[in-house]
Amino acid sequence: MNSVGSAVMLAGAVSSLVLGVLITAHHLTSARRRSRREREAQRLRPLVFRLLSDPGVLPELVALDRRAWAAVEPTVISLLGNVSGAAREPLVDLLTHRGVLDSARRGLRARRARVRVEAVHVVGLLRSREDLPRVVSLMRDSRPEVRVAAARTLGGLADARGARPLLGGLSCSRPVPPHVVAHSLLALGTAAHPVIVDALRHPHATVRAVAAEVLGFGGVVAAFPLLVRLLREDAELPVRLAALRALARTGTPATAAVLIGFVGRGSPDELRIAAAEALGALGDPAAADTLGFLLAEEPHRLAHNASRSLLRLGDHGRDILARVAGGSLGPAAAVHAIEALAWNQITHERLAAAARGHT
Amino acid sequence: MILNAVEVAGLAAACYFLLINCSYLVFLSVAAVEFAREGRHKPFLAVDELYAGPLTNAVSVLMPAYNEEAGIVEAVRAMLALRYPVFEVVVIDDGSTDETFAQLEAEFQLVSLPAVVSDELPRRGVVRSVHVPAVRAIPLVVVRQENGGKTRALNTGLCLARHPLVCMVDADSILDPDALMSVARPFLDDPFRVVAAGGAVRVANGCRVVAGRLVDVRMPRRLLPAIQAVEYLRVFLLGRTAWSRFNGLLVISGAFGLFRRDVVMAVGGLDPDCMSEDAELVVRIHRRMRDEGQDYRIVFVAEPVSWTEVPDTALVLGRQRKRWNRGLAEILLKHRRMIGNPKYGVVGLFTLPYHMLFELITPLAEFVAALVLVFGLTTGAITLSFAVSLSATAYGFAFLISVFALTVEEYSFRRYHRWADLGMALLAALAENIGYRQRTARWRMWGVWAALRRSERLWGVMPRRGFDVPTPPGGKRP
Repeated sequence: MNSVGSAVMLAGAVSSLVLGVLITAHHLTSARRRSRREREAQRLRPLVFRLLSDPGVLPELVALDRRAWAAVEPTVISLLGNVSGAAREPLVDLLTHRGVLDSARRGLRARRARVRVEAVHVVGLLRSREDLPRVVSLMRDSRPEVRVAAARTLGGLADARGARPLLGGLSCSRPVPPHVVAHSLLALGTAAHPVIVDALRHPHATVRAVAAEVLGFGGVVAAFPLLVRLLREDAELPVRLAALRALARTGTPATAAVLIGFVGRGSPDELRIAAAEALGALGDPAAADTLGFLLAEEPHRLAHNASRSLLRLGDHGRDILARVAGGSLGPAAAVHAIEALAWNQITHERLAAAARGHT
Repeated sequence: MILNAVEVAGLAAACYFLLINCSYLVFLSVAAVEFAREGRHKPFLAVDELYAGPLTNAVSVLMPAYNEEAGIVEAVRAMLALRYPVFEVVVIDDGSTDETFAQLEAEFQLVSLPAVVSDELPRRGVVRSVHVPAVRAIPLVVVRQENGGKTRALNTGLCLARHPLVCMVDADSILDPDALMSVARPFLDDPFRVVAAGGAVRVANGCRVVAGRLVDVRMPRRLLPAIQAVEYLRVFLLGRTAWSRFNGLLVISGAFGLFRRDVVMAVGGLDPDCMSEDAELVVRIHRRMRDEGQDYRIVFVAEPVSWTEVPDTALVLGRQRKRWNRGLAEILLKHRRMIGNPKYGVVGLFTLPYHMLFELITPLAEFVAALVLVFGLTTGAITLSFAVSLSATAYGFAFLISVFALTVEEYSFRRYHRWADLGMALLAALAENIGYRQRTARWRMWGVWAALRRSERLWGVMPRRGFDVPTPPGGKRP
């Protein structure tokens, strides 16, 4: 035991020492590296900002040595992501002259995932549409960070050809997070709508849900019948909810009538609650009577949403709330109406206070 | 005969501690790999995209508060200043006897709203009144309830929360500005499956705080909190990251956790009869999801950070550790049918047995091992060198694990920039084994004993020293 114990203790002591040295070395080198880069970047940053208004400084930046460029490149890349229009051009010129685009193109096929991620990011920032096929192929990369970067770049390239691969990224064995796909699909604009409308019939629930959400933001009236069908018939509740939200956002005249059909007891509570809220957002006075009756319904959230929605329907909604507050539908409904009317009073006072603040 | 028995007991103890520390080593290695992976993602996380994304869910932040007059206004202001597209802050004043409510009322010009509080959770607090800001459209709701404890306060908050995600935080916690966005990310990455996400909690003692924001991260200057800082790093940050990797996460800290509201409501909210209500909720969610055969995930996110003040006296620390272990014992008793049951997957087969064997009974094992050593030494059954080797191996390995945890921290997050912080962390890792570990073992043992005896539950008070605030120019520190 003693010899084993001594050996274990020695191994432990050596390991602790090695780890201690590793910590110290990292602490020392990373601090030095960071401060050196920061100093260099600080020195060159004004030059990069001057480039936006004075293309004459381009040669000076193109001629920077490797170390100086490494310090200033993150600033250029980050700036490129935050400017638009004419201000982009000198930055794109600078990166092209420095060979960043060529290097990124090579990087798209690199073995190291980190290099592929950075490359696809740069291709997106430089909006190099000719690299779209390669970016699409990276949507099937084995590494999740590369797939996410490729999906974002497809949005950044704003080419409708990216819609199908983006939607495909939701249902494959190596998926991309839905929010990334949704964001990129929205960036593709109206040219991508036919593909997205098609996706409402996709067998995969996530694809249908994301397509519905995106179409809701795009206000695609042509998708209305399909969204209604999803709301009525889809087997997955999250898809039905996504369809409901999309319908509420598109706000066609027929929407309120459709949603009223889903606040009844035959629908799942989640749908009833969401529909009661959406009817307020639509602002169609035709929904007022139905919402009024919901004040006496369970669950709590349904009655609560109905009362707040009535406030959004103008005088007719407030009249109904006043009647219910008086006890026309019983005490359980009255308390919701009283709360909503009190809330209405508070919001009015807030608005008045804000107006006083402006005058 | 006695000789053999003592030697066998000594070797059994050595094997037990070897197993524990080896398991920590595995956790740390898994966590290190996870952090390296996260590190690769980090530069491309596109927080702005999350902020503007169409699928980002709104969040209700629930802040129970009891006698928090000293810092409640600053805490609420800091919460309201978090970066997140749509959220509300629900403060639940749990029958404070000080000026907690008066401070909020004056600062935010609160008016009473005759709100209907749902009875979806029967074990919520008794609500006295609900208040909202009168003048400014601030997403703040303040509820006053009769004193019923933190758990009932959170249940009240759950009943009032309007949004699909609920974030439970302590009133004295400080969140990093992007903490809410980072902890909400798993719900966006995997919206159909993720039901809960826990954020990392770190030690705020010694850090500098300005206007409810942590502006300078430092190691605590006193040894007791510094030891806890290293312990939080090793056990909570790295351990939970590893359990999360295997979908076996058991604890989401009450100081910072995000849940799907519908799921929490479906399992009946938090249990006021459990001392570790946060962990119990997570176990109940696991149980429900598995019973219903649902595909789900409960994840831990290491990067969003909630900073919390830890006890800096042995008395308060003792109460806390007793409470924690009592809570663990209560959970294991309540959910004993899950232990070793393959129906409950990783949680049933690994997490719960692990917590029983290596968390719950460790203090008892340490106590027995110490007794055996003393008995063996006095009877001459073991030699002094054997006893020293055994102790040094057990504690040396524990020190090695802590240094490994500090290495992972340095390479992955590097939150502590000063050499003094690094020195203090290494000193704390060493000092943890001399006195601290033995004392916490004793408190933890009392916790288990209290659970078995079902003695009266006492939460105790955690006196706050407050944070290091900068000295105003030419003036004294407030």
